[in-house]
Amino acid sequence: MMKEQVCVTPVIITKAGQVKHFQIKLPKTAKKVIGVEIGGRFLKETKGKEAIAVMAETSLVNNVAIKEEVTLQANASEVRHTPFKRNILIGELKLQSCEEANIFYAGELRIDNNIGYGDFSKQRNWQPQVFTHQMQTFEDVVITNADSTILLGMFKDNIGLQSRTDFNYQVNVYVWHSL
Amino acid sequence: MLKIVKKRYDIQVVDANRSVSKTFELDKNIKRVKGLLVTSDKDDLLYYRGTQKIEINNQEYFPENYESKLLMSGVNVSPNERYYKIDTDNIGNGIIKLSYIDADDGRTGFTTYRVSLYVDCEMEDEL
Repeated sequence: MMKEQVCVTPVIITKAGQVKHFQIKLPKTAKKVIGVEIGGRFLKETKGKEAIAVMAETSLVNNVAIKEEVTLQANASEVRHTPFKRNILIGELKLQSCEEANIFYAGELRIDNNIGYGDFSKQRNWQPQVFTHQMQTFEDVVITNADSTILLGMFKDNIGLQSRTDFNYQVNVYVWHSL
Repeated sequence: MLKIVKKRYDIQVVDANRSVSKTFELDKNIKRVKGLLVTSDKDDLLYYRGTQKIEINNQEYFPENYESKLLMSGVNVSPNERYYKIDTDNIGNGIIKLSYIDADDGRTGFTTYRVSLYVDCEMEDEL
């Protein structure tokens, strides 16, 4: 029977536009890399916390503006639109294995601002949130030999670059491997 | 005959930025664990603040720092699909160890909350 295991590698980002190179060490018993997942959280002492609030507020203001426009249109033509908010790209991850040429995984870490898009249960006083409406999260499937037991990773910050603020956050890279 | 049962085990998080560990004993006639699900009475706190390690019979299924949001399922997921599928061998006298860590990320205010671990099991009718 094939057994799976996951190893978590935290990467701390502290500067705008920071590019961080890191290594992921797999156990010697690992046979193949079978999946990659990415997650993250802001650290409490984030310098850019105000910026997050500003970004959220800006999207809210835009949203309200769009909503008002939509209401006017809806009244006029009885057609309702759902406003679309831009998702925030936190950064980009790339992974390379010594067993393969070039990178074998490229992924993006994003904040989903559109979890309620097309959800008719939402109202003015209640909006679907990621923690109530998210679908199940699974790893992205990759199949790569894990003989060398070390993967090379690169994470590039985007949110700090866009807002010209130093954000302090932790990215977690989950590498699933078979034993 | 094997019955499919869902078990729930709770821990209370009463202090911010602390870890809470608890060990739960499965019924003796539970032969197999097929899935796990993590929920809370305050979903937002679990989603933004929680990480956990889960061991079954001393075998680590999810390591430390595994984010709780990756084991949560929202209301958009069909009830039949909500559990994160795992498969244990014949486990008899199973013990589940849950080590939960609360860590503030600045987006939520702390208040006491409950973390529930739901376990999808196969149980034998009689011992």
